[in-house]
Amino acid sequence: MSPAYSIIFFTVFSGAGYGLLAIVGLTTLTSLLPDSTLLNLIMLILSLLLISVGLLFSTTHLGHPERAWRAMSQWKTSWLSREGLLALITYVPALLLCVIWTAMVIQSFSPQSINELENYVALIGGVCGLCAISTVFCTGQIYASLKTIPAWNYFLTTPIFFLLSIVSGLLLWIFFNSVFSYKVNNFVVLFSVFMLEAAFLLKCVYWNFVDQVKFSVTKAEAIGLEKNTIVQNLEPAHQTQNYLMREMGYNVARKHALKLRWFASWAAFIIPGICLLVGVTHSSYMPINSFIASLCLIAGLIAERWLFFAEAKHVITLYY
Amino acid sequence: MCYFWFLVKIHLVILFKQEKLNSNRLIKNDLALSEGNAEMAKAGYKQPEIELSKSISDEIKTTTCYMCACRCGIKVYLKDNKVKYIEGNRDHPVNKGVLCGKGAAGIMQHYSPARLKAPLKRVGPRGSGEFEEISWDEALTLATSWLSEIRNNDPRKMALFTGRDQSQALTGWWASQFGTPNFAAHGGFCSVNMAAAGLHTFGGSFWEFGEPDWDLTEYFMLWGVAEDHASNPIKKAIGKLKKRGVKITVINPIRTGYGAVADEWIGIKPGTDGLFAGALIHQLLVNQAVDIDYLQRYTNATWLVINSPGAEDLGLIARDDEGNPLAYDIVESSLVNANQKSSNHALHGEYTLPNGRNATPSFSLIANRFLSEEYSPKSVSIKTGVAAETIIRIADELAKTAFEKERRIEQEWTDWNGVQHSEFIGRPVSMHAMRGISAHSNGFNSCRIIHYLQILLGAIDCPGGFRYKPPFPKAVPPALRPAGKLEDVRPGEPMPGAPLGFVTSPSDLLVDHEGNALRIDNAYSWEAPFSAHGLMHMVIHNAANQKPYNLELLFLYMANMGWNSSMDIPETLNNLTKINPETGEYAIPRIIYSDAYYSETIAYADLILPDTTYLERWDAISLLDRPISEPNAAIDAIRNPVVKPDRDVRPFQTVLIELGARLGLPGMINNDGSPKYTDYADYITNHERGNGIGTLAGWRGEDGDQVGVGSPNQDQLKRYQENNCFFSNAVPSNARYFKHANRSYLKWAKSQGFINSTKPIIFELYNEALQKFRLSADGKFEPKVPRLHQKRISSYFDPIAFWYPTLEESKLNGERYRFHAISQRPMHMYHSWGSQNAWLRQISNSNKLYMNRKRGAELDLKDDDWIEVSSHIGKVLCQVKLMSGCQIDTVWTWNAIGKRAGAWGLNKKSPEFRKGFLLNHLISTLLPEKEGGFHYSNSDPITGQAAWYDLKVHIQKAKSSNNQRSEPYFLPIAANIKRK
Amino acid sequence: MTDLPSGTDKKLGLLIDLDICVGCHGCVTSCKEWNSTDDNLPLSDFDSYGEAPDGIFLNRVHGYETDDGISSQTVHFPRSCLHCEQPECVTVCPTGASYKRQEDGIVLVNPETCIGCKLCSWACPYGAREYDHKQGIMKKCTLCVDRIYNEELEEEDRKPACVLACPTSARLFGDFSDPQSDVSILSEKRGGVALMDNLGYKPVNRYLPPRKKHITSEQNSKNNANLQRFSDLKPSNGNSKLENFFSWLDQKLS
Ligand SMILES: Nc1nc2c(c(=O)[nH]1)N[C@H]1C(S)=C(S)[C@@H](COP(=O)(O)OP(=O)(O)OC[C@H]3O[C@@H](n4cnc5c(=O)[nH]c(N)nc54)[C@H](O)[C@@H]3O)O[C@H]1N2
Ligand SMILES: Nc1nc2c(c(=O)[nH]1)N[C@H]1C(S)=C(S)[C@@H](COP(=O)(O)OP(=O)(O)OC[C@H]3O[C@@H](n4cnc5c(=O)[nH]c(N)nc54)[C@H](O)[C@@H]3O)O[C@H]1N2
Ligand code: SF4
Ligand code: SF4
Ligand code: SF4
Ligand code: SF4
Ligand code: SF4
Ligand SMILES: [Mo]
Repeated sequence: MSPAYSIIFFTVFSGAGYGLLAIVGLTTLTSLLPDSTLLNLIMLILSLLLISVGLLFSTTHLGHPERAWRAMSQWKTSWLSREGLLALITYVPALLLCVIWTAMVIQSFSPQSINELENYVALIGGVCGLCAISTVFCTGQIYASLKTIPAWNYFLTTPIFFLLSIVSGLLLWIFFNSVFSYKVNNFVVLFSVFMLEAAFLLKCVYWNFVDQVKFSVTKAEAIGLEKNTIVQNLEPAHQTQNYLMREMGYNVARKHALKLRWFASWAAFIIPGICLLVGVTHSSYMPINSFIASLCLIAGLIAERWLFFAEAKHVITLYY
Repeated sequence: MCYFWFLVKIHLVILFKQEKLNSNRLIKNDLALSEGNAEMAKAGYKQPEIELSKSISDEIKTTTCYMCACRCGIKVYLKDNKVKYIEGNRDHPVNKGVLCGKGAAGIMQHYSPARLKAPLKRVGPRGSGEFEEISWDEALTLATSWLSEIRNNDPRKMALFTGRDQSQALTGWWASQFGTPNFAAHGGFCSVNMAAAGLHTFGGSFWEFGEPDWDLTEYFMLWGVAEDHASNPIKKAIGKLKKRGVKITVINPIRTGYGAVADEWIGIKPGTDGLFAGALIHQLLVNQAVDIDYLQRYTNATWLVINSPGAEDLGLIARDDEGNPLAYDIVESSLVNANQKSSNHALHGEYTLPNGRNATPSFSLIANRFLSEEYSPKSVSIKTGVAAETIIRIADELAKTAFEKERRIEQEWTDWNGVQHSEFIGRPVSMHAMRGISAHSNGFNSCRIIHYLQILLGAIDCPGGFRYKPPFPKAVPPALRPAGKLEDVRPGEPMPGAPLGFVTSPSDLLVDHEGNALRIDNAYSWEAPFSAHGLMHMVIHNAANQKPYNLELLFLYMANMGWNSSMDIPETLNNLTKINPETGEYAIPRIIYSDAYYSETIAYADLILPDTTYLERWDAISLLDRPISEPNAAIDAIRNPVVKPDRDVRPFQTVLIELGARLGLPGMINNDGSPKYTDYADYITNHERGNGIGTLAGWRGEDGDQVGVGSPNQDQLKRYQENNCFFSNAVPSNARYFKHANRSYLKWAKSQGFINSTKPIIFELYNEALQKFRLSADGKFEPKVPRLHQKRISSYFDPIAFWYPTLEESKLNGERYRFHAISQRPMHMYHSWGSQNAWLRQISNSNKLYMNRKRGAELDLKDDDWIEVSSHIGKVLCQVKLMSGCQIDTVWTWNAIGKRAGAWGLNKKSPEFRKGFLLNHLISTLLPEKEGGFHYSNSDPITGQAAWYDLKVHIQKAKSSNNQRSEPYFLPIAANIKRK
Repeated sequence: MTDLPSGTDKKLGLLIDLDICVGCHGCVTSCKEWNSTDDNLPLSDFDSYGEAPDGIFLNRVHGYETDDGISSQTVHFPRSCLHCEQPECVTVCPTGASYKRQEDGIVLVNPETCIGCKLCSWACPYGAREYDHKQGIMKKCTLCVDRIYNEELEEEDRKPACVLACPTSARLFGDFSDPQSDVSILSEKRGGVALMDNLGYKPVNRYLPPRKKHITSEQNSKNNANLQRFSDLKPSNGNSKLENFFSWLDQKLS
């Protein structure tokens, strides 16, 4: 599949945004919630920014962005529609939370009503987190449900999307906490490293799978012949590239792909892991380490996402 | 935050319930909101309501397609005076509604950016593309001044050569009125071998003069055809045959197109079909599967041939005092007039003539030849690449079909002898052949052997066999001799006859007293005696090299001679720009050309007469030329202007008629010197070739109630328009088969002016005319063959068809040039025209050299590798593609995909220029070496047919393959036109 | 609507006979032409006269060589939308622009509501959808829905453009839900194939596979065994082929 930058940036940025949003939202249910409402607000705003930038990228992929609102209508069957709808819905609790926290930060409500509002924060935060997680789940499902692309139609596709989004969120969360001089619970850091390396493991399993995956149909079956007939191209249907070949027939050289995997592994999984572990032992390095970790992760994920597309073979390539 | 905006919009939409939509679009209602139709709503399923009856036209006009020469009927949908849609005309006999890939893309041809806009005069050197637009009056005045000078000095110095022309009845007549013998049309470089072999054998031919009896045939053999002129009819027929389960056997070195769907593909080695067909004959004779009745009735198999060794008249037909051929009646034991057909005429044996000479039935000689070991399946199998068992089996299949599946049609008919029959009985084996046979230097003979095969099986013009299309059959050969002898050409005078015709004896040749050619292309000279269509491919070479003489003006029409229809393009381009050192002028001083598009040849012409497209003009597809008849009907057709030209272009035929009038050519002016015809439509309507015979056969006579023959009818074209642009004149039902010997047919055909006499048309298995040439080479017939040509004439002029290796191959060292290189027509492209078509060029815009997979592996080649392909004259650099369905010693490519940079209105980076190539660059105009002191052209020694497919090449991997461009690459010839 | 109808009244589709398709591209350009008659929404072309000419076609024909271990064949393969019964191109569509018609099962794109997200083209295993980036919408074979019911056309012409054009009649149009229709009968008889059936899209169109064209050596020798049947003559020992033939001639003539 052709690695379209609009979609790569969309999935990476909004993935990170939803991850952060999920953490921020879900921490409201726990004692891990930083005491600083300002910090929470900043993280919330940042997550919304990432999400929105991502979504904006995604609309550049559309032929008719002005009609994008229509994409919400088919939630009954379409994961893309569900993703769009959830993305939209997520804004509701997130913005509500935003309003509340802003109010709390600027203390524009009477202390009493602030207290009252605080009772809702956990509820709204929870909903917000759930929405964010679900959105990412839908994103994963868009790809995972395509039978035409066996590299995606795999049980790990969605979990990996999901994990990577959460991990991106966690790293950003750690970064902001440490920048704002909040000591991040080591348990959280270790958990993040664990999640990160779990994602790495899954990604390795995935790459191994991609290297082996085959179409469930043969070229012969694609043209209606008996399965084992050897079919070779004689005359192409057209001699210069067309949409199908550009979009679906993208071919990445094995050597190039391996280099990128190597880069993605180091940038997204190994370096951030090391940075965080160093941060655990030397907490003063945490701000800078988590900053490097987050940057590397994003860069690594861009490579990872590029590969996700570039290495996925669409069944119509059988015709070409 | 765009989603907020979306949210707002959703609300707005819900509020107003309706989004405003563009009503003339396909989908009328907004899906999200429409209720669909009531029923759907009931089922709870919503879908948009769409407009199911959209209107596509203001008006529909019928005309005839000319995206290729097949000439299908089309309906053109017009909207706002623009062409919107073209579909096949269901009511048209040629295509019955279907359309091919090119036909449906006709719109893009019509709106091509390569179309010429106005007459052009060359201002830069030839090949520079520098032109100046001039007015029509200026153009015609200039052309007239050039032409009239030549006509008044030596009309021979003007050659009118027309390529894809379908108005040869006009152009040929024009040339003879001008007074030049130098006229030819596309047949010479195309398939004159087929035309000549057929017309010299049975008065018809493959090509467009006949077709298999598609409805009744039980076995179909297709020889060397990729697409043919009958594009759609053949496809339709193949579809039909497949449905009926009729076996289709394709003989072709390459398995594509028709070969792909055939029941059997015989991947023959190029140039050996004659041998293969000969082996089939061998096998039929061995199996005694020959239709003896048929041979006796319809052929000259029984004619006695003088065979006393050393006799002056050796090999001529024994005749009685009246000139009737003699046969030997075995019942009466006497010599009889062979034309008084009887089943008692001997087919073998030796008989003594009154003058003491010995004579033997010609069939005996034929049987002798084909039963020789040379033609046994075993001995041909290595040369042809076809297994002996396969040959044996195919011969058996042919015999079984012919003799066990007789087709009978109940119908009373009378043969020419007056014998009544109650049914037509046929042998349902049919064949069709084209350029795979003809484009070889042994094509005339190979094609004749295929005709032998048909005739021995009794399968010509019978139910299920190969059928003539009126106006064929004609006399063997047609009773028309070429004009252009020394005394025929005089300054300021027309020639006494048509430039093209058929030769029956050395005395018909157009040669001077020394035996030198009188035509610029050497047609009808000792180089190519039977050249029924001229040697179009030689005109530039001969004129530029002043052999046999120089030309003052070359007038070309609709032939891309600066590119894909010439051999050896580098040399051709040299010839077009060659300077005559004596005059300092171009060796071909003037070139006038009519094209509709900016083709490669434009850049080399001095004066361009821009033509209209096929949708803008009148054309006549006449019975005098190459009609669209069917076996059961004589059919002619027209094209009519369905849209007006939007630029300063004129139909070439109209221009030619005006030029004729300006030159004062007889037949083109009235007594007072005024133009006789206002335009081509006027000419079509009013010109009479013979008594009551004109361009079109339909609705003749003042009131349009006469058929075939009658005075001009001023409403004729209107009547054609009303009748889907064609006229069909059904052959009477008792005249539909055995036309060559069917009294009703012969009478009917004579009444239509197709033939001059009702004498039967006897198939000439034995060709006496060829023997006369041979005798002449032996010094026994007048005029004698000049010494220079004796060897060639005696080697190739054999009265009985035979196979010999193609000339280039036999002259080259077989080791080095190991591969046969041939081309095929892509079904969706027409020669050079297709590449300007925005739709077609998406399908093909570059070509590769295809090679057998095994050979590729041996040469360490992979798909897309760059290779060097060399012939004895040049080298081409291109990419290779491996395949299985390709004879192992053959390589091939699609014809005419490669283009010259700058032509056809294409951007200079177009793949056609950079990754396309022509085999023409490698095909030599002349044979590799002189023979007997004469350098012959690369053509069939009998007909002069261009031997495109004799090419032999050597192949090796290119040295470097980085960023390659196909070669040779010629400098761009982009148009640089000063507008008025 | 992205939802699929619970069933369709008809299953209109094409039956494509690979045994007789000669690869002429008649269906390709006639489809292009018909579907470009609408000035507002023609099938776009890009770089028409340039380096990389490209454009939207709803039907394309590929040429292949096949080898089943016994013999090799050339096969032409026209590819257009198969109007699947379980078209995921429809169910993935987020806007509902893609839908399957309830009355005849034709799968269409609503050009008014398509946002050009391209997901449907990813979901189609047959490469039947092409994105028109000039118009920003997805294009696909409409089964000529604007012809087959078009009252401006004569009855006989109410068929898909490609079907009418196909010179060999390798394309038939009809209702696969009616077991008595030509397409159903022929598909039944010749073993019509639903392409890549295991993907679960349930294509409506069927392809008739090319017949095996291999001639076995047994067939060769069987025919050879029959050879003498045309001869009325007992093989006369020692005679040459020519003598044999002439004596047969004598028999025939006397
Ligand atoms: N689409 C399309 N149609 C056309 C044309 C076009 O350009 N495009 N051109 C028109 C013209 S001008 C003509 S003359 C006709 C020609 O129509 P065809 O006769 O079909 O001409 P070619 O394409 O030259 O095909 C020749 C075939 O013969 C095969 N062949 C070559 N050498 C041999 C041989 O030695 N033996 C055998 N058995 N086969 C051999 C080649 O593989 C090829 O398949 O087509 C006409 N129709
Ligand atoms: N290597 C190789 N070479 C071959 C062949 C081959 O098989 N292999 N085939 C040979 C054969 S059989 C043939 S017939 C020739 C064909 O070769 P050509 O006769 O040269 O055929 P085209 O390339 O079609 O060129 C005809 C010219 O007519 C122009 N034209 C098109 N429409 C019109 C119109 O309406 N009016 C006018 N005035 N001009 C128009 C086109 O623009 C083009 O320049 O090629 C021959 N050359
Ligand atoms: S075969 Fe095609 S291009 Fe040729 S006349 Fe017929 S429709 Fe036109
Ligand atoms: S072929 Fe493709 S586009 Fe057509 S219905 Fe099936 S899945 Fe959809
Ligand atoms: S491109 Fe259009 S039709 Fe396809 S899924 Fe997207 S909105 Fe639906
Ligand atoms: S049915 Fe119509 S839209 Fe579909 S491929 Fe045929 S012509 Fe094209
Ligand atoms: S028009 Fe018919 S024969 Fe030609 S490519 Fe299409 S399906 Fe095949
Ligand atoms: Mo030709």
